[in-house]
Amino acid sequence: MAEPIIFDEKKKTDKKQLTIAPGSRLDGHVKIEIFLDDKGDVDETYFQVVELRGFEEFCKGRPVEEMPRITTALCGICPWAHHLASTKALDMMFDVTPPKAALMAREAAYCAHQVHSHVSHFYALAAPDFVLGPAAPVEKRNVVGLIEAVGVELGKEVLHTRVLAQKIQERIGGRATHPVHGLPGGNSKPLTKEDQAWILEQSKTFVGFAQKSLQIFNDIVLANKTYLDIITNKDLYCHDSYHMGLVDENNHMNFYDGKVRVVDQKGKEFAKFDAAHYLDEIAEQPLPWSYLKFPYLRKVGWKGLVDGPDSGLARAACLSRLNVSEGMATPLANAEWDRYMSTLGGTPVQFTLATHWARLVETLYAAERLKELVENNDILDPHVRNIPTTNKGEGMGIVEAPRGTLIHHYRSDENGMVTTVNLIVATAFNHGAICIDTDKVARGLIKNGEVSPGIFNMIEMVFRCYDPCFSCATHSLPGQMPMQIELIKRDGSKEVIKRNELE
Amino acid sequence: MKTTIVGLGNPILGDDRVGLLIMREVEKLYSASSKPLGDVVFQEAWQGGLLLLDQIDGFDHAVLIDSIVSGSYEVGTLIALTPEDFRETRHISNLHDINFGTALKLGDKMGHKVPEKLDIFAVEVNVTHNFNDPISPQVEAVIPRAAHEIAKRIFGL
Repeated sequence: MAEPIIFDEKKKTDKKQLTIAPGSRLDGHVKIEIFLDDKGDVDETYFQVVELRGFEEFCKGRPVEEMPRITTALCGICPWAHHLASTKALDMMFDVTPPKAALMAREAAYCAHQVHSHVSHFYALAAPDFVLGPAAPVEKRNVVGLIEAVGVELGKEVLHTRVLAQKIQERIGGRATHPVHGLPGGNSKPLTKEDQAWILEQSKTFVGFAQKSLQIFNDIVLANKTYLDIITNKDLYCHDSYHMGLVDENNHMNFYDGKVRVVDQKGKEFAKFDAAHYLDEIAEQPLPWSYLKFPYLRKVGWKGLVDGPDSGLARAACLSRLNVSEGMATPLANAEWDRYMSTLGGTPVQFTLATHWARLVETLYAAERLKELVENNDILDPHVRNIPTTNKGEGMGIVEAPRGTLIHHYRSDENGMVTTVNLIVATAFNHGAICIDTDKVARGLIKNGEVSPGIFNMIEMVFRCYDPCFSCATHSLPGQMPMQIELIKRDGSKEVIKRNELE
Repeated sequence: MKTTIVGLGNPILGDDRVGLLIMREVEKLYSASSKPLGDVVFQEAWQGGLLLLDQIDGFDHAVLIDSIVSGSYEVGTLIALTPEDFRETRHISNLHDINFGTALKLGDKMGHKVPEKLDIFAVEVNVTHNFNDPISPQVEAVIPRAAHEIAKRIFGL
């Protein structure tokens, strides 16, 4: 395999406005603005999200029990996350606890969804930057180039794993991408013995593939000193933030259930809360230059886009979930968590690029957890729903979407019609962190107005760590890719570099 | 020949849903005809990229019906597209993983049975900004005509 191309030649440009378009490997419409000082160094950077759609308004006046099916239309990227957060909110609203088998099936389907999402992200979005290199030609720096570099057999395994994970979601949830499974108090159908046996076999395949993926990361990224230096460079992809994520009673991360645990910049527990109390802990700050709000820790307060102990920003993605955990609940993933933490200096890991490693550790956990759940015959109990008899008029549900913590909060009137909807999605939690990291990486890489395609891609590599999905963050579904980067000098003049002029 | 007709779009998002609605009309026309049912599969797709590749895997002929915001045609115009236009439609390319052209190349390399024949249709639509937006009258009006045109071109109906 050829060596990755990590750096490329810089060019000084005298254009007035710099634009990188189209951006790549994210879902949504964003713009990065970089302000330069007189020397051509970076003064300030803004990562802007420029879409807005009124999903909350759309839901008002509809029967609240339709929400788990409506919310999957928000986004084709993490429909299961919305489906389950919504279903949990209805469990609370209708004051009903689902039977054990129903909860097990929900979590099993969700583990398959995490495998599907994480494998897709790692191989299609993240790995090309490392295997081919950040400065590799753009026409090569994609999943096809990746497969050409590492071999067709691995490509087949990637696609096969995705297909199997989709089929598991379909067998459990009725439909793979837009499930019709969760109901207030339980699920629409029980799992059959045939499904159990088939899913168990696939889960074993997933465990093996997750281990193989970790080995690939080890060989290609961790064994490359230049990459390791970039990952652990505190002046690039690194900032000190709070971290949040769901944990079980042992403080082990869980995708579906538990309490939200927040740790501070030293790894000390700062808060732990359930869905019903999220408003005591989380608030949202709008800023005039972005449609996407900035959630923050209410008890710290809004301090702006800054890191450190005074910052109210908390990150929420794979990196954060491993940081709020005191180990993993499954044995193989736990061993990987130990190796990850010992390599990177212990919790909390603040190196943003390490998120890709964390994502693979989570993939292994999801595969093992899926296997655990379907090995247990309790999942076959045909009693999968307790029928609700009351409506409290308000419910909240929290799950971990592949890209971070997701909160759904509804209120309904006496007829069960939606009156209020509030969604705080993972990409919103990470919005501030993306801005901070983007600024820091731009600052670290752009000097004297000298830029290159590799540098622009390294700036884009920031948001790929967080796997942002602006479809549901701003409740939009744009079809064209649209990221642009503008360099704006202190005198107000703009410089635009179009991606295709450089690449 | 095993054929699939795929309507793409978001069912609750204004003009964005037009591909789904046309596909359903084509299905009605096909069902009402004397053509055999076995070899044609009608499907909905809410996103493109690798997920769309999964949906057309194993078919000899795939017909994709999407929406497009090109600005080059009047809203409500039905357009037949070439493979080079993959990135331009609203859903065929899933920006979150890979564009559809790349997905096809990938599928081919991996030994998937990628359809030998691809037909792509799109309706020029208004940019949809809000989930509360209704479907535009010009776009709604084209649905029956577009369905008849596609049914004629694909099935000779």
